[in-house]
Order: sequence, then C-alpha cells, then structure tokens
Amino acid sequence: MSWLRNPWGKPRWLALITAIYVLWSVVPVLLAIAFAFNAGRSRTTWQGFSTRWFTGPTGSVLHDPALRDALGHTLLLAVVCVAIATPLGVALALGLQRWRGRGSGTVNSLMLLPLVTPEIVMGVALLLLFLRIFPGIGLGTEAQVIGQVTFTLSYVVVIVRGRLVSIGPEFEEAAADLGAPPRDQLFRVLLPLLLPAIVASAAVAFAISIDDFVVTQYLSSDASTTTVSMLLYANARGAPTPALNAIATVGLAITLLTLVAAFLVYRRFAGGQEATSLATMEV
Amino acid sequence: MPGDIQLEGLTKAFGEHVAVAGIDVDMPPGEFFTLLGPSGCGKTTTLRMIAGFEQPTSGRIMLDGTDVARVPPHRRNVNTVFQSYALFPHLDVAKNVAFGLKYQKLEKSERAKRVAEALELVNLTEFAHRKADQLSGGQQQRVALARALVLQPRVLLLDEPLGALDAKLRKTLQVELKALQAELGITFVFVTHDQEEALTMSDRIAVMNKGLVEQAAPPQAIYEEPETVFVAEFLGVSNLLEAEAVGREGATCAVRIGDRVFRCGQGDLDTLGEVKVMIRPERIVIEPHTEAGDERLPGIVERSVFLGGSHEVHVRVLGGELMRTTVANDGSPPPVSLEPGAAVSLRLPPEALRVLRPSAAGPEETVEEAETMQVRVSDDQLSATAPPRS
Repeated sequence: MSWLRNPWGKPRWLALITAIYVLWSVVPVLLAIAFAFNAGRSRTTWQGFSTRWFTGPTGSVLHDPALRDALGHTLLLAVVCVAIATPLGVALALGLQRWRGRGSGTVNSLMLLPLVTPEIVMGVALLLLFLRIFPGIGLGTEAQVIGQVTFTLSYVVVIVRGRLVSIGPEFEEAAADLGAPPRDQLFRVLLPLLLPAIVASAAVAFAISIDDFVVTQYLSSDASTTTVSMLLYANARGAPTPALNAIATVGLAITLLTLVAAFLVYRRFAGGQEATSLATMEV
Repeated sequence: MPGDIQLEGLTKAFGEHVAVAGIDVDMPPGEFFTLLGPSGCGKTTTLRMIAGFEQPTSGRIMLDGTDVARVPPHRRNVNTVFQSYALFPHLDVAKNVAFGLKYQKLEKSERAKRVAEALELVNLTEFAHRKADQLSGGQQQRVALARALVLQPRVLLLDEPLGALDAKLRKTLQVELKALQAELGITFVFVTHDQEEALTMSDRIAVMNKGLVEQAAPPQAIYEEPETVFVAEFLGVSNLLEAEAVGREGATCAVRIGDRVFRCGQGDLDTLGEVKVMIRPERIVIEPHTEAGDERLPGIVERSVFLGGSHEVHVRVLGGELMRTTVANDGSPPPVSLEPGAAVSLRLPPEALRVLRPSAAGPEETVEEAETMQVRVSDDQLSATAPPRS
C-alpha cells in the first residue's frame, strides 16, 4: 500500500472514501431499479429478466389503474407546479433584486424560510390553512398545487437571483443606453440572459414536485389525488410487487431526464464552467 | 453644431456620501473632453448622470440647450462605451451592433447598411457573426464602440474604455480613438484615471477631486499652469515647496523659502502668507555649487538615474526638501557632477515658478495626501488590467 503513503501522489485516501460513499449511495438505488425488471413477484430474489411490471397485462405500471393514475397525477402536479412557480419566481427574483428600500431585507429572508422549515411543519400548517382559513379551496389537487408552489417557488427565486447578481445591472443599462425602453430591456436582454437559470430552476422545481411526499400527502383528498410517492409509502409494508420498483424507476427516469435536459440547455447558453457548478448544485 | 453639454451645479449624493459636490462644466461640441481624477473622485458618477443611469440630486444637464436631467437613458441622444463593454453575450457581433437601431425609424436595408458601415469603421467586418466572448479584449472594445456609434449619437460617453487592455494595445487604441473622434466630429466625454491617456487624447481635461472640478483646461495648460496643488501633483511630476508670499513685485510675486527670496512669475501672484510654490523638474537649471545668489537653492545630489534621453537627479536642498530635476542628454557631458554627494546649485527661474492655491476640495490638502492618491491610482491601474466580466 505504498501509494497511500506517497506524499507526492494524489490524495488517494480521499478518492477511496469518495468511491465507497458513491457505491453506498448508488447501490440501493440500482438494486431497486434491478428488481423492477424481475420476472417473478419477489422484490428480493432474482427470478429472471422481464418488463412485465412496466407493461404487462396485469399489475403493471401501464395497466394497473392505481399505479397509472398515481403516475399521471404526479406528472400533472409537477407540470402545473412548474408552470406557476417558474414565472412567479422569476418575477419575484427580479422584484427583489430591484427593490432596495425598506422591508426588502425581510422579504429576502422570508424567501429562504421554506427552504429551512421542516417539511412536516409546513405540511401541517398548510393543512390547517386549507381546512380552517380557506375551506373554500378544500383539500385535493388545487391545494396540492398551491402547497407545492409555496416551497418550490423559493428554489426558483434563489437560483434566478443568483444568476441576476452575477449578471449585474450593466447589460440592462447598456440596453437602455441604446434606446431600449424598460419592457425591451427585460425581454430582449435580461430574460435571454436569465434563460439558463430559468430552465435550471424549472427543472429543479419539477424534480422536487415529483419527489415530494409530506406536503402532497397532507393536502391530498381521495384516491384520485394519490401520487407515486404516496403510493409507494402506502404499499411499502403491504404486499408489494416489483411494480412499485417499476413505478419508482419511471419517476427516477423522468427526474433524471429533466435534469439532464436542463443541464444541456444551461450549458448551451451559459458556457461550460457555470454548467458544472449547476450540476454540482443539483447533485 | 450639436453635441454641446453643460453641467450646471450638478450634484449627486448616495445617502450620506456625496459623490459629486456641485460642478459646472462646459463641454463644447466636437471636442474630446476628458474627466480625469483618482478613483472615487466622482468622474464616473458624473458620466453616469450624463448617460442617465443616475439621477442628479440637484443641478442641470444641458444637452444642446435642453435640460435632460430627468430624461430616462433610453430617450437621451447620447451613447456609452462601458468599462467592461457590456456586450450582450447572447447575441453575435452584428446583432449587438444592430441592437439600438430597432429604436430608430429606419428601413430594413438602411439598418443593414448602417451595421455594415459601423463594423467597417472599427475593422470588424469579418467578425460579424462571432459571439462576443469569442473576441479579444481589443475587439470587444471596438464592438462596443461600433454599437454606440451606429446610432449616430450627439455625444459619446466612454467610461475608462481602455482600462482592461494591455499597455501596448492601449497606446494603439488611444491614437485610434482620437483619430476616430476627429473624423466623426462628435463630442467625446472620456473618463480616465490615467494622466498620460488624458494628456495624449484630450482637447480639454477636467481634473476632478473629491466630487469637485479642480481645473478644466486644455492639456498643455493643465500641465503648464496648474491652478491647485492637487492638479500639480496629479499631472506629471512636480516639486512643491513651502513658502511665504511676501508681496507683489511688478509682474512677479516675491516668496520666501527658508531665508532666501525667490520671485515667482506664474500663478496666484497677489496672495500673501503661506503658499505652495511649484516647479516642474525639467524647468529647474542645475548649476555648479559655486553659482550662488538670487533664484538659487544649494543642495546635495542624492540619487541620479540615467534614463537615456535624460538624467533624473534627486537633490536634497537646504531646508531638507528633496527636489527632482531632469538634465537633458544632449551628447555633451553634464555641466556639473551628478554623482551622489556632489554639491550643486539649483536655479529656479521666475518664469517657471508658480504660486498655487490649495485644492478646490479644501485647504487641508497636503503633499502627503496627494501622494497617497497617486498610489491609489496605480492600484487602480493594476485592477483595471483584470479581464472584463463576461
């Protein structure tokens, strides 16, 4: 083991620890994915390769109504949440950046609150909100969307503001100097420059929405508002089949693809260096 | 001729901090006008007020007779070349240049023609479809110029546009910029902390310090006839001596330096009491120590540096001041020994001795303060060589 003691060599201890950690964190996920393709009903004993739990005639993600609806509802929530949280978050980030007066500091800190509040606290609080204060909305899809927007918004604001700070006021000033009215300063210069951050934040919001369990669970009403994560939780101790692994695999694939797509867009527009930092952040 | 700017009682305060403390400046049309000063003197704030990025706290900005102080930047017929160029990274060179033409009512063909002309003006035709970050610093600077000039502004504002370039390129671009300005005949308002840049390019320089204009005049006048201690210190090398003005004698002012009386032929000749007397190194005549009497200060050579075209000689004079002089190298051996330790006599001719009033920013301005300011300037230059933000 002389390489471990070589003071001129690369710090191999660190490499070793990193490798062990990566294995430790990836293996369970890979195992879960592997058993999604099991031919039998077991989630622990390998019985051959099959895609029956994805597309088979019974009990598969595609044909079991409960699984299919859960996946559909998850995606619906994610899409609606992104569609609301992204533009709202961008607007908020722009507003906070410009707003230098009294109270801006408070609002700034408040924006970070959802990021540090334990989700269960937020879940309970939102539940009370919809039961007592806004009973008109009630529990269900609308409440779930509002709940998810409430905290994904913070991620959008934080990511977009980071980019805004690094862009600085200069490009807007240049646009104004060249004759662009405020509207064009925004649409011809600022938003194109923010595009990578907007795409990245939308992807993050999407991924968070798909993953979310606590808030979504609290604000759900009946079976039609069950999401994949709720389904997994409810069935984990019952009589699970590899179909659960299959649906989790589908969810994982969607999240990963979204992030990869966002990464590519980001790199396309912002140059390699910043894309790497984004990738680090997302991991 | 359009492009006339008059700043009237212009001030700008950021909270407690007063960046511009009330300046009155005339920038005649078609001139290359430079705002020169150390960092923090208010020159950039002044430029930003002319551009419209900052609202003056008070005062007027007259552009061809109209006060534009409350006109937003996108409606002012002035354009800016930013220190970091601020080229739009998501657009290529041609689209950067064409950006502002959208707001001028032009035919499409006319627009394309103007872009082509502007690119040709700065020799960047073959780079039209490059992205800004694929260009060198000098090329980016020229794109920034083209983007502003294509709009045919009445006034072009330049905020230290050469600051981020290396020394050699800066020299070339100084000449190019000056030639361009002469060719276009529009008013250039140029901000810099670099005295050499200011001297080589400007028709007129306003030296700023602590939010005030110390002096505004053509370069030669600024150098030859500085009005304040600050200006004398900031531009070029000057020797400053503590003196006591004892009264006017004809066309000169008699001052006492130590126990000797000198006559000053320039500056504020009617003052009495404590003053600063200034003389440029190249105006001092170095003579053998046997020459004594009027107009002369005896001293000992401390250091002598051969610079090729001249010797720079530091002489410790009676009274303890260190004076810098230069002796031109005309091929013949120097008139006196310039070795350290040699005794010499410095003649300060009346026509080169200048009585200065203190800084416009306040009478407390001392030589030491002015020196630290120059140190700050060179720091500035260091940081200015960093590449621009992309």
